[in-house]
Amino acid sequence: MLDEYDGRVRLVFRDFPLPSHDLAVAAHEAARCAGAQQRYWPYHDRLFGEQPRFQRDDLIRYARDLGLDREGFTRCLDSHAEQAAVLASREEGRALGVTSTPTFMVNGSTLVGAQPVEAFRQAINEALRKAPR
Amino acid sequence: MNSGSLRSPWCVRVYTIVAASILACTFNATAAPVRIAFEPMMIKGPMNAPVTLVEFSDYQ
Repeated sequence: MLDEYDGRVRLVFRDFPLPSHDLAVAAHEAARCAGAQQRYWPYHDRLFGEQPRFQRDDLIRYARDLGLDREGFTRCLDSHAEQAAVLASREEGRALGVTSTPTFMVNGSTLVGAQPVEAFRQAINEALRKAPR
Repeated sequence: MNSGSLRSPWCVRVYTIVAASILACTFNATAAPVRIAFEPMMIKGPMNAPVTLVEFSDYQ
């Protein structure tokens, strides 16, 4: 969709690990650890493709597959250096009224759950109409 | 490589804090604005795009 709108839309991803998913926080931490090595989005995509295989060894293997520095990644993961940021993101979502995933906001208009592409087009087009030129 | 070198540079972190202070997203038309943190590594698309699509998701 970003390509379709050619520079008029940006995507901001926020962590919202559900408390019922016991491996989710670690997965979100791992993505941020990959980001510290400039590989956030490839790792992010890999995680979505590997659901729900998020044991520690899995997370390290994905990092290795993407060519990350294994030692540094493992240190980051095991130290939980990114945990506070992940939990802060979840709190931020809660403050916005997010209770389930995925939840999307298009310039403030909320879409909850998996939505057809057309729902996003409609919301984005509406936001573009309202956006200052 | 020490652990410090794997973390975001200080300038990015400062930038994040500054950006967070200027980016606001309203949950609906009547609610008070709620700020969304702005972390460059978790953003795709141009900074000056007129539309921001925020996704709250769970990998699991």
